[in-house]
Amino acid sequence: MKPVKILFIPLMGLIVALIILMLSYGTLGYSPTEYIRGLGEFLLKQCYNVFEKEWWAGSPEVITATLWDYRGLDTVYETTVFYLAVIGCISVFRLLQPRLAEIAKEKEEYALTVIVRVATKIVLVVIILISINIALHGHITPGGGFQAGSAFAVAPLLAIAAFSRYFVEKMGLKMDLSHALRSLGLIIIALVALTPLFYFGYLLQNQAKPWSPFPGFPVEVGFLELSGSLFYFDIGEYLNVAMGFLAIFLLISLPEHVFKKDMEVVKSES
Amino acid sequence: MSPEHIIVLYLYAALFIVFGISVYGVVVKPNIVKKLIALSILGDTANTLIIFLGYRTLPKPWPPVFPELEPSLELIEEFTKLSVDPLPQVLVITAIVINMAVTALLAFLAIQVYRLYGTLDFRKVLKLRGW
Repeated sequence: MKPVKILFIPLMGLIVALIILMLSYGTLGYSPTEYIRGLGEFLLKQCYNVFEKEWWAGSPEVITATLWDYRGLDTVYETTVFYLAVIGCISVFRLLQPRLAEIAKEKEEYALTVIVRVATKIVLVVIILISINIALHGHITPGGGFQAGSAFAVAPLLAIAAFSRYFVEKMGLKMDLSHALRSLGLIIIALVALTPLFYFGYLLQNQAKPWSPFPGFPVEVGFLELSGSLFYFDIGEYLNVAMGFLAIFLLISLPEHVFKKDMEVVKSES
Repeated sequence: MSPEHIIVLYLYAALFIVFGISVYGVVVKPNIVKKLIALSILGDTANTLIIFLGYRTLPKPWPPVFPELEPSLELIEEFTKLSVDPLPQVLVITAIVINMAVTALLAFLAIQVYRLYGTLDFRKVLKLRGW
């Protein structure tokens, strides 16, 4: 590479960094400061304000409440983007002959030591339980659907590394299950988002508002703290993200010779 | 300058240096996987910067989660006074998931490029046409 080029590129990076620094400093001022911006203060004050319920979300977790109540439509679109990205991955990696994936089930000739296998099995159970815990507690403690789905994503990855792709499928985490549960998650989100419309409320409405006839989702059912619609949204998002990652890892771990065989057919046809 | 100012400036400087390195990686490295790694570092730097902007330079700021299920008015006031800004964190959760989706899609495309052309060097990929 020419020396001029080597000099040019760090300079360009520096200029871009300086422009961004200038923009952020100019628009936001000296940040972070001791004070909070108005919007953040509004969210903190109104989110679990049990005395003045006009703007409240019914959840002590401000981030989940903002994610699914105050900025709900954004998050719905974002879920759609994730779903479409997984579909994009599947369509890039699709096999023209799906039965080739069945042949790929290699015999378990090589296995890691007993220590690795037993430890992985224990850790797998713990990971899945903790991810479910994060998902179901996302509206009370830090956590939520995305975080739980990302935590779950480690489980199939670990199982593929320690055992094989076949082991994951034997656990019941198959591609069909992934498709079904992912779609179920989106259906849950869509149904919960559309429910207020049947009561002549607003789309994605969570709690009752004085100017809307919708009575709001129940905040407490018996001793269970449900925080309105946030609980159902978290479950739907958890299913979507966790099963999306499962599909990605199952596809990425298909052995190379399966694709080679699949491509040979394409070549011979063309 | 107070020590808090110095720490904040130090963090700004560190983030922008990492930013510069990742831009360098995206622009210069010919290997597609290395470009992808630099791109994900770029995204993470941006996310860290956004979270950092929501921090408050208090002695002990609170996380934006209510500590009790049945709060009093005083607790709500105190919470508003002491907690960090929740909005940047919400934006970053959205950005992280989009980032992961984009990274996964690009990784799949990189694998597909390797399968079709037998190389990950994009200069060679541009020279090869058809298979």
